[in-house]
Amino acid sequence: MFAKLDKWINDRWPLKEIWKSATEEEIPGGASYAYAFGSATLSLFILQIVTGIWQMFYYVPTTDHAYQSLSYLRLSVPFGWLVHGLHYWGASAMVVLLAVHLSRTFVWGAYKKPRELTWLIGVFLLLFTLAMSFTGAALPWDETGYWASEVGTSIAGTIPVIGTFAEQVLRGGAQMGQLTLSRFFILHVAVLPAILLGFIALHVVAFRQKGSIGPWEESKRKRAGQFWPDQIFKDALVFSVILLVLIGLAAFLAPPFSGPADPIDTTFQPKPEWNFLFLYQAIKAFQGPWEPVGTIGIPTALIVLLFGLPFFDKRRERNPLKRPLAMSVAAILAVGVITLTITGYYSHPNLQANPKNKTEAQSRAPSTDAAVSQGSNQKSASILPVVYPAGTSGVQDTNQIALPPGVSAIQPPAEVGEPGAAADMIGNAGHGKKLFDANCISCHGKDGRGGIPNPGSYLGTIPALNPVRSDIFSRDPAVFSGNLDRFIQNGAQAPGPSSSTGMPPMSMVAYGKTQSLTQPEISNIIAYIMHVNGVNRAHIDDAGVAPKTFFFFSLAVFIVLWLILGAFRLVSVRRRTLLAEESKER
Amino acid sequence: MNKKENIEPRTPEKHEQTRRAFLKMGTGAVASFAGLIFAVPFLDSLISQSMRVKIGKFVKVGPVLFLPDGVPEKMFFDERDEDAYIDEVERRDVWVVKNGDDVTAFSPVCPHLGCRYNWNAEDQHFVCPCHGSVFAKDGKVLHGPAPRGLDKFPTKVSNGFLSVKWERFKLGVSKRELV
Repeated sequence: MFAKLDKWINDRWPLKEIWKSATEEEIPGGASYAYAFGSATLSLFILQIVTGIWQMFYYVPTTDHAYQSLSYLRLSVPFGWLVHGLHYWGASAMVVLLAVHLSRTFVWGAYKKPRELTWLIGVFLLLFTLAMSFTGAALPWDETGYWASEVGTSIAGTIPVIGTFAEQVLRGGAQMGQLTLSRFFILHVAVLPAILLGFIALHVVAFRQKGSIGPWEESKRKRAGQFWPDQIFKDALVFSVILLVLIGLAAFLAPPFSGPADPIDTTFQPKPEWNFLFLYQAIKAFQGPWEPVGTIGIPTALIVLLFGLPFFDKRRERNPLKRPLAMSVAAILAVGVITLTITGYYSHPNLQANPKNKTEAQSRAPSTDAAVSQGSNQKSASILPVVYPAGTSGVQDTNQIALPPGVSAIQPPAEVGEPGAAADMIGNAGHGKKLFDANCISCHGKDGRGGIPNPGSYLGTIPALNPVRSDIFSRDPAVFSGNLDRFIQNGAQAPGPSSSTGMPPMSMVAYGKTQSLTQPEISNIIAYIMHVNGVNRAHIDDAGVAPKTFFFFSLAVFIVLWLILGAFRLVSVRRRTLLAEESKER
Repeated sequence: MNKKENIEPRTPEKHEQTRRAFLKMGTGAVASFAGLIFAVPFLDSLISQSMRVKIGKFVKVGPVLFLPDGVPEKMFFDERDEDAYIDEVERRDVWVVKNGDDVTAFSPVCPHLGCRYNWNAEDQHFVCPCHGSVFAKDGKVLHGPAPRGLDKFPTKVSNGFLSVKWERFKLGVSKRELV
């Protein structure tokens, strides 16, 4: 049956020949794990295409829906966490694998004649992969992606002569906006993948033209291995390990929610993707008129060096020990890039330079004098709460007033008003803490622990947020977020007659309605308040299978697969040695 | 004999070859030209509308009468703005420094690479969180990678109300240019 089908197909389409030409290749010196990284990168690229397409079933590339559609995929779609997690960590793994593959090619001297073109196409592949990394980071339209794109396109704008042109064409206008997202989206999902596929084909054809390079020692080259099954076995093993690591990362280290993009936010400290951190750090070293050296000079020099390598280094010698110049230049560059990446990762220019730095809102907050004058002005009490110095939590309240029957001491959430857009945005708790410290701490106390007096109110103090009132709290992140948002959007009144001095109780500003805070800022503050109450705003409501369970399940499946592969391998090696012995006897 | 060899014999085969080469080149040239005719409008559709310069209008920001002298104040206002086909109200911010009758409005965008900088009240200077540029209260660069001082918006003050023209400037270059 199969033989018939096989013949039918091969009479019409050269399946056998193609399979033969794809798998029959001699590898001088035998198969090696060192050669597995090229094919691992290709396999990973295919995984990126699949997870990328899967994400597009949910993702919407518009500035007002990108963040929420991705959040929905990640938290409410079964295995959405897996699809996105694999794509996110896979993108980083792509860059790592490419770096390993490039280093391997370099050490083996595989860029030398006649393989120069394979190397050049490889450099193009690296650059297009970095372009994928840059355009992909913008798509969630979160704080990290938005600011990385803002700075990245601005850097393009500093290129002499064509800068403004490049920047505006990339952005689709003078400012970041919907057209920027559209452009990055179409580049990321159509244009760049198509180019990458084309260049991968060129790369593989060029590689096959001259074949595998093998070890540099003549003596080791005599023994030859076969691509199928020797190298494929090793390739499969390496990629399966990578895949398992990626599943582990997706399960144990979910990509952060950096909060929705907020163009007027100043508390967020933007940094690029880790693979661009060395450039980010280098930029800071070049100041004033030297700036273009950092932004354009260094990347250009690196690119020229990579492209020119086969032409600068024309000696035939491949042994790394006999190529001291090439190896030491490469080592210095590698150490430099790694050092800059690490220092870039740990650098916080604003905060480190001045730990006592106050945020803009703190410096804006009224001084004690203002608080005093505010106290004497009844009207102002409802506009802005009196500012107490931070850390006055736990102040003894002596002003509590007896509650008349039938009167509530608090306003229930539903009576405050409707939640706003922020309720559905997944904020970032860390960022929310900074905003909380700048805007909320004066009334709700440090870490929201409360205790700040509110004379004239039935409660006597401004309600604590940590722990929060039980009628606001909910285990369900969406409900909890909505309840908190009602207050932050609409403000709140503290019921009470008025204080002994005739001053009405302080009320809370409608931060959302008055636009004192942007919706993304509110979402971050909500995430922080939920965090201190033990609820994760980014809790997955439908995981399909719990991430950790899924990882251990995959681990078990992979172990079985490895055992089967190993058994196959043993049988085939055994059979081959037997065949070899037989032919010797003859 | 020698002479005869040097002269190219115009055999029919040779004639055929040059004719074919010419046809090949000619076809290639025509195809490239046709491709170019297509490429120009297609590329232009991506380029021209991106290069449009937006001209700002004066928009009322708020009262500056009671601003303390010499203390930078972040002020917010709303401006109707078109982002391509999306017409929406944009929240704008501006750093206002008052010195007597003189009111300066700084663009909140760091002239280095477009981040939003902050006022550091303790050290009395502006700091950008991205690459650590530091600016004095009058906008001059103190240190850091910024190639020029803070950008100023055109301002108008009437009846104690400040109006500014919110604009974007070319970033990362020492010359101040509108985009």
